[in-house]
Amino acid sequence: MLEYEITNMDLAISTLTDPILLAVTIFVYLVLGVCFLKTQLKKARIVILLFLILLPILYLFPVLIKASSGWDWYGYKAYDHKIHIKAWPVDEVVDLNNSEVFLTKSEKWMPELRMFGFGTKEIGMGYFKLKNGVKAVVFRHKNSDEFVVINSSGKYYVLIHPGVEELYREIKDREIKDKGFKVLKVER
Amino acid sequence: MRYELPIGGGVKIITFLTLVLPLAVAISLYWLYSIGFFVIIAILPIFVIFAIVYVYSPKEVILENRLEL
Repeated sequence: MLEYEITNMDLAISTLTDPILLAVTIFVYLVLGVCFLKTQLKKARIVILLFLILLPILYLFPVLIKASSGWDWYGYKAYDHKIHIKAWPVDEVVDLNNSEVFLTKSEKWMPELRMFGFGTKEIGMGYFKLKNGVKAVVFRHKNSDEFVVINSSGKYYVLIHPGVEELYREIKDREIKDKGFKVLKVER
Repeated sequence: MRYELPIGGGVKIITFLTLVLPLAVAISLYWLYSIGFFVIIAILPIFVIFAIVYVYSPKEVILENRLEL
């Protein structure tokens, strides 16, 4: 079994170190800092201070919701002829038999627009629109030059992470060893 | 005769909530959709305007009794 997993801790770290959220946080702290110093009312000052303390905790709220609803890992597990993909909110077991699986560097298979899912600079998962206009389920952790695209009965899955070539090699090896397992290879 | 009534803390707190809630919504959208990034960019100038209003809103209401007895 070949697997690639990230945990809720990776999600939390990725959220707290996201450059856009960090920039927003610094901006909000500066503006509310001025509010805090200028306002005369003690109650208002307490509310501002509470918000400033709670802001980083609020950033972790989506991760806490996922963790409490049973999502303890994200990524994939490849076994037998199947691959179990967990890319919030998608949790699917994909049958690789008679599916198209290919490794590509092509920009047109890269995710472009997140339609629904979770995204920070390092992590992207959920439903995406690709640069070629195809809608796909994407799991991305960091980046890699090459990435795996799976087309199972017209539904596309894109897997991006460092070392994803290993998954493609594993699927090819399985095809050679197991005569009942056939993957359609299309050069893209 | 002039009466000076300070604005209650409750009003300030409600103003503060109207200041931060759109930002919280924008950040939530940022997690879920690519478009959320543009919502954050759009909301930040509004956030600054709200902050200025919050800081410089009147601290008291002056009532002037013009009734002449």
